[in-house]
Formats: sequence, structure tokens, C-alpha cells
Amino acid sequence: MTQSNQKVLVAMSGGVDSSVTAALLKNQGYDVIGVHMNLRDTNLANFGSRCCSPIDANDARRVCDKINAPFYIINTEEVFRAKVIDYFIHEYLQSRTPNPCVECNNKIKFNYLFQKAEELGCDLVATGHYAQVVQDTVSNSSRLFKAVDPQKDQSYFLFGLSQKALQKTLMPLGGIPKKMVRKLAEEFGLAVATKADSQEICFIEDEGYKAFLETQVAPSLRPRGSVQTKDGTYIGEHDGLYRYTIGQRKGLQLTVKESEQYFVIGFDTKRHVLIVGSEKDLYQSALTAEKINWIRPPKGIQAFSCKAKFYRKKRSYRAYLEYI
Amino acid sequence: MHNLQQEFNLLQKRAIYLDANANYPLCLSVKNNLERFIHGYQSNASSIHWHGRESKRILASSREAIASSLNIADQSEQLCFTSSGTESNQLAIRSVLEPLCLAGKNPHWITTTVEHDSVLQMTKWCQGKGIQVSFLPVDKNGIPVISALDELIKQETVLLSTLWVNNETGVITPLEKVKPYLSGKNISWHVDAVQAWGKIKTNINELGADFVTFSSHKIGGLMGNGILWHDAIISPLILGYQEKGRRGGTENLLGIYAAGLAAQDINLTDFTAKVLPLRERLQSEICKKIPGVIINGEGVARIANTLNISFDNIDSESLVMALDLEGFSLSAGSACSSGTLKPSHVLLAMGRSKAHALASLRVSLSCSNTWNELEKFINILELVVKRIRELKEEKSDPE
Repeated sequence: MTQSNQKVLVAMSGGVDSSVTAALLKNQGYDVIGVHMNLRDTNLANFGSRCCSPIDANDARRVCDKINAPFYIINTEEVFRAKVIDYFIHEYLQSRTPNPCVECNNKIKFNYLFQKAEELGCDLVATGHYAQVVQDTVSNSSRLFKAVDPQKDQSYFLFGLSQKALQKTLMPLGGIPKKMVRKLAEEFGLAVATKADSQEICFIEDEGYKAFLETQVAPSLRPRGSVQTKDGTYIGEHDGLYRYTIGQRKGLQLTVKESEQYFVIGFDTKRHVLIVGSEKDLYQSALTAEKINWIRPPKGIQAFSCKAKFYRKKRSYRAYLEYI
Repeated sequence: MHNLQQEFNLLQKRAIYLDANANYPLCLSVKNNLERFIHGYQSNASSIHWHGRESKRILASSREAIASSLNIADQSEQLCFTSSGTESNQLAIRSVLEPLCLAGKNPHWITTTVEHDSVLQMTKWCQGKGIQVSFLPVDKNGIPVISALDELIKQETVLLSTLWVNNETGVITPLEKVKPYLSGKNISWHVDAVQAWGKIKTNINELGADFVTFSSHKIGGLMGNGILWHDAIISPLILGYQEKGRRGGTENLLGIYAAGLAAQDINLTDFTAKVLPLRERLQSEICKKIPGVIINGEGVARIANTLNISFDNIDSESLVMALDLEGFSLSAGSACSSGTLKPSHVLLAMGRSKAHALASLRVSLSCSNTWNELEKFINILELVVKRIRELKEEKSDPE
């Protein structure tokens, strides 16, 4: 089948993955339109080395020049600030550890960008994510699978995608190992073939997330407080709850002996108390999850066995899931 | 790896060009003479030998041709060549403000809220230097309220910067009203005439300004060549003996020659006769066929080639890209180097909502545009606007 008349908007960060995505789709006969989302200030003089700089935009543009595709930069600063950065700050102030990449996928890439694509008359949106989107013609629905390269699999970040979005999504890299992607970039003659992968959160500079929050949030909103054990024994001070994550051991300033035995096990956000305990206090056999997104709703099923994952880079575990 | 000759072939792809205020298509005389020029003149105009003298002759003749087009044939030496309109604007502004800053004074500069970015950038430069900046407001049609000068001018005021024609809306500033407010005061007046040149009469002598800036690529010359006419002292940005010490760096002889050719070719009657009927018909057809449009600057003095439209419930980012994909090249407002869009400061200053300031489209015509092209454009515009609006409505429906 030829895709000669299908128009696809390719989200291009300027990295090797999205560049190869664009080149592959162009080769397959799609009408490729490259779009770079400008997430932050565009003045090169104000920029560090992180992702999404004007240099990245230029790299993406040169790839589009190479494959002879139109290329645009869209101004996403405001919506990114409102939907991702503000969420990120809000979550930390609520003593929850946010995942901004998930939020960016849900609200920006597979929502805001989708709207743009439709406005431009595109039929599809493609990204350089390592995950597989399969259109199931029997059930007439889309399914999301892990990438073939387990090291690069990003399906974890894509759990929030809707059927509506998935049905118009292409992720051609899900079926290819990363090594092959670099090789393809070389074969296509793309200058980004040897460009380093982006790391960590794109809007956090080398100073880390704590320094970022400190520039964004007034000190009165991130007060210091005490560190206590489960039974309420005072054993130290902390510099603001936003600096800690459940399971954290390093960086606790405790006034007791054998302080390295203590882990962060919880927060009392009303009294600004950091609660610590032993390693075994961390382990739980059950949890209640919220913000569930069913890519294919399991009709009529109340409980089932499955595998669950808490971090992208950790393995998944056997679990039993029950509706409550 | 890069084959620039091959890249040129890509340029041949035809799209309809409706963005003459960003860059006016090369005028015929420039096209016809550049090749001959390239073969004939190869020397640095500062060299003593025959080749150098020939280059210097071309430099002088071009300067005189430009002076003639501005009705100042006897003052060609008051024209200083620079790299761009931006450089000319900033050179004029700095020439007045910087020496006073260095002397420990706190000068006051008045400009308008609708200036080109190259002037607005200078308001940032002023920060932390003890320079006070005031902005002359505009009315709802985008015309600077000249009478407000009465209140803004104070003892320390040393400079007034006003643009002649707005690059986004084409609205003309009534500069003839300015002079009375400045008379008897020691205030330099800088006029940005970049969009006025070649589109309306630009008789500098009648103006009474101290600095006037021009840019060659807005009249059909080459990019990379600006001009500053001055009747006051210049303090150079780049040191060197070229341009009589006003602007260092080897002269861009090719650009200057093209500027001279383009200036010689200016024909206001012809320009207006060609583009005005097209613009008027385009405006009325758009208003007839597309609901929810506002013509920015309608009913006031505007240059003949510019049409600035705001659309309800559309953002111009999508509109400009979608039109490009359909083969029409035009801008939302001014061309921005990063290629992204911000709400138009000009439309905001006119009191338009942020939504309307983000929803504008600028059609700027050249003499080579035809009604046939505009007819095609209107049809596509109608379809694209309809599509985007329907998607927006769909999105805003509660699920």
C-alpha cells in the first residue's frame, strides 16, 4: 500500500531519534511536515546545553532540508509552562514526585500538537518514541506495546495516551533497536547521527531540580521543618519537603547515631514534617493508584493478574489488580 | 557535503509570494544589471588603482542615485551605508544617547509603542544606563498620538524616534504634525522610514528630521544593505575609515549598487496604480467571504500594498503554516528570526485583545502580484480558516 497522500506531522526535537523518524517516514512515501516545539526562551545568549535549544531547532531544520520536508517551529512556551512546569512545581510542593515527561506526552505532544496537526491538515502525528503502536483492525482500536529494544523502551511514559490519539499516531522506532537507529541516521546522511542522547528533564539545568524549584517558588511556600520517626520522635531538621523523595537515604541531616539507617518513608505536609523510618518501612504489599488510563477498557472485569512497573528503568513485577 | 548550486535549484519551487514588506522582490533593473556588475567590478573601493577607482565611482554614483530618489540630490554625503535598517536605527539612537550617558547625564528618549523590533531592542539597551524611556501611545487605528508629545517632552528629552510607516499594518504616521512640538527645543528626531521608502513620498528636507533610516531590500534591492541619512553627528558602532569614519568595514559594493539601481527604479504612481486596486479588492472579497474578520488600520492613511487582518477564533501560527503548505508565502506580522510567533505588540498597542493580536495575517503585495494569484489565495484562505475554526469549536465542545 502506498501512503503517498497521507500527511504526517513529525515532532522533531533535533535529536537523532525524531530525525530518523522523519527520514524513515519520508522514505516510506509519507508527506512529512517537521515541527519543532519551542518550549522555552529562544535567545541563544540565555541558553545552556540542554535539549530544545535554538541549536536543536536548527539541527531539526537541517534534517528537514535534507529530506526535503517543510519545517516549522511552533511557540509552545506558554502551554508548556502551564501544563508541565507548573504541574511539576505543584507536585513537588505537595510532596509528590512528578513525572513531567508523562505530563508533556499527555498534554503537549499528544494533545496540543495533535490539534496543530489537524489544523495543518495532517492525517497523522509521528514521534521518535521507542514504543509500538499497533492498529488492531479486528477490534478497531489501537494498542500500545513495549519497544523491541528493552534498554530504550519508553512505553512507560506513554500510558496516558487516548484511543483518539493512538489511532493517529506513528512510532516507527518502536520496532528498531537504538543501534540501528544511529546506523540509519548515518545511512540517511543526517548530521545528527552522532549527537548525544538527551538526558533527564529538559527544563532542569545541571544544578538539578531543587535549584530550579528554588528559583521558581518563594521560600515561604517551601518552609523548613523537623524530621521525625513514625512514632513522632524528633531526630533532625530539613530544608523543605520538596527536597526529598520516598525511599531517599542520602542528604538527611539527622542528629542521631547510625543515621544512614534512615529512609524517607512519608511526609506530613500540614506540619511540614519529614517522616523517616527503616528500610522495611518502605515496603508495601499494596497501593491505591489514581489517574488510571485504560487504552483498551477491560469491560466487565473487576480484577486480574498483571505486571506493574514503578520506574521506567526498573523491571516490572507481578501484581494483582482490583477495582475499588 | 553541501552543494550550494544544487540548493539553488530547490529555490525554483513556485509558491505565491505575498510578503513584500518582509522583503520586496528584486526589481527588474537590479536583476538585469547585477550579472554585468559582478563581471566588471572586483575591487575594494579603498584601493588606489584603476579597479579601486572604478569601484569608488560606482559607490559615489549609487549614493547620488539614492539621494536623488529622496529629493536630496545635493546631500548625498549625508547618506551613510550600513548593513541593515536595524543597524541604521541603532546607530542613530546610540549616536544621540551614548555620548550623553558617558558624560554622566540621564537623557530622556521618547519613542512609540509600535516601533520595529530594532528600535524596541534599544529600549532594553537603555536599561541600567540611566536613560529614561517614554512611549508615545497610538490610537485604536495604530496612529501615534503626536499631541501626547506635549506631556511627554521634558527638560532632559534629547531624542524622539518615530516610525513613518508601520511594517505590520501599513499605517502612516502623520509626521508633519511633529515639528511644532520640537521647535525651539534641543531634541534630535529620528525617523524610521524603512517601510515608507518606495511606497509613499519620502522627501527628507520637508520632514525636518535629524536621522532617517532606510533599507534597500524593502524597495527591491539586496538584503544586507541599510542607509542612514543624518543631519547630526554620528558616533560609529564600528570603527574604520570607510564611510568617512562613520561606519568601518569594507563597503558592500554589490548591495550599494543594487540599492542605487532600485532607488532609481522607484515609481510611486506606478506602484500605487498596481497594488492599490489589488489590495482594495482583496480586502473587500475577504470581508465578503470570511466572517469574523477585523481589518487593522482600515479607514486611516495606509500604504497601498499592505493588508493586516485579525481573525476571530484562529491563531496565526497555524494559519501561516497551513497557508504555506498550500503554497502561499506570507507572515503574521513582522518576520521574526526565530520563526516563532508572539502576540503582535503593534496590535496590542492598538487595544486589540491578546487573541486578536495572536490572530493576525499580513498580506503585503508587490507590483508583480496579480489578481489571479489573489483569487487563488482567497479560496484557500477561506477553506483553511473554516477548517481551523471547526477544529477549535470541536475542541471547545464539552466531551
